[in-house]
Amino acid sequence: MMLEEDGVHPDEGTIHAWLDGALDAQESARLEAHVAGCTACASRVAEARGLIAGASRVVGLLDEQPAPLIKPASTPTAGTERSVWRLLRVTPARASIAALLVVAVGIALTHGHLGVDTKSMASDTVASGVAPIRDSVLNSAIARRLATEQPPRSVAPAPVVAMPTPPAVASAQTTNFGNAAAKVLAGRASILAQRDSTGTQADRTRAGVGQLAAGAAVAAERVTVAAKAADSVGRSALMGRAKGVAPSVVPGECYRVESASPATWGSVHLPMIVALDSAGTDARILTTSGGETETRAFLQYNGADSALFRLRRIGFSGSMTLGAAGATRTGTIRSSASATRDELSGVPAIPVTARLVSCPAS
Amino acid sequence: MVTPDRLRALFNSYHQPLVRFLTRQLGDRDWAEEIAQETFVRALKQETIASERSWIFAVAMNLARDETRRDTRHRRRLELMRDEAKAESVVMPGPTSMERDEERAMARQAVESLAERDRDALLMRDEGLSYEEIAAALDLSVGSVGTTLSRARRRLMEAYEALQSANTAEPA
Repeated sequence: MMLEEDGVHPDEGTIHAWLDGALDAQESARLEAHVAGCTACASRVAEARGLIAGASRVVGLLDEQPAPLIKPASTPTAGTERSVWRLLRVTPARASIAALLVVAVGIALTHGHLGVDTKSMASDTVASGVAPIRDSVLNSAIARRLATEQPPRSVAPAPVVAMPTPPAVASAQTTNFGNAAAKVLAGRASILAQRDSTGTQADRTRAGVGQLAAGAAVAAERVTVAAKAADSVGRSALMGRAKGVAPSVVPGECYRVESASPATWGSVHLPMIVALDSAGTDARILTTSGGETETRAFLQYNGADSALFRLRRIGFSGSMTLGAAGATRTGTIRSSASATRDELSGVPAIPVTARLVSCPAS
Repeated sequence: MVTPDRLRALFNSYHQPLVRFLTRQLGDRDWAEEIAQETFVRALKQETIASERSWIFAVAMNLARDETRRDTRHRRRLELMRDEAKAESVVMPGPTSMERDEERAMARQAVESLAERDRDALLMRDEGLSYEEIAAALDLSVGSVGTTLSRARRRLMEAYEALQSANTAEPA
């Protein structure tokens, strides 16, 4: 966007500084008064707000760690999704078995290689040199994973491609001790890393609180910044008037969204369940019986008075707004079968209601 | 001289955000931990630190930058090892995490496409540094922090969305 340098309209940097709570009271007041009466600037403020939220989300994506294990396939209906693993007929249970086999082979090879008696040392094998607590973390993670796996639906062998266990064992046998140990460590690390990443959001909140406690000066400054930010959100002509403190939607919660007349969001028929993940950045869209769909959403904005979700599904674009927390909130959904967000502008918004429900067991 | 008690307080307040900041910069957690540690060692040697947070982030940023320049080989080797571990690992990601991995790769690419200063400012802001602290750490005027951040955010989103639509445009 071009900046209008006529001395009246604030430039983009000033708008960002305002939204970041970095302007002093006088400048803030002036900017706010201007924006209230200038639709062009109001839309630039809205855009800046979107950029701030979007950039923060993209930066947050950097913290994601590659997921180490397959998610249990919850419904057989998700068959249209393009998946290499499905083509290879690698079921979660099979993948877990293969993983365990490689760990076992690694252990056996370690001992074979070092000439140690495997029988007498079976339990503390690869653990030497690694903190025992990490072992228990890994072991319990694998145990948990196995416990949640669905049993294989069919015992019939896959006709197209054989499951990869035998080749995995064969290749593991030809590799040396270093590789086998590396695999074990890599698996361990990725599980730990995944656990770390799920806690990031909460940690960040805690870190913020910790910093408040760290020093009076820092605390005072942060409180001012937070108050300014909350204030500017509250006063903004665009985002409504509520000055609540709590965000509209809460990580880990599920919301049942329904409409008065039949409607779809992307390819999902309402009513549907919006299941926000533990980080509060993404949501799975589930059927009311808890079945997975191929549609997902990410949370673009979560303010005191509204939350904005973007539809994520190849071939569709869409958005959903939900109002502030309450027994029943109102909102709107829009979606169209096109790939770009711009094509949403002509699409009518369908009014919906949403209420907090307990999340379906996955 | 920073006392051990003071160092502990510094560590408790800043270690976690600092490691995250460095991990985002470098794309490698272990490496980030090393540099964070070196940063705190340097803090220990300081007589006084005026603005703690900007000092710590500025020192860490410079250490990271020096090391990236001096030893790109180290970094490449780490990346190689990581890719190797990934390729050899038989634990397989499901379709959902493949999508997440893709998003993460796009995010990394988009962040790396930013000018150094824009990226630093953006990542510092995301760790809660104030405009004054960012200005001090990056040797900018406070007045230009907003401009730097708005440019960084806009370019980041443009880069990310371009990558995203390039991805979506592939036949599903």
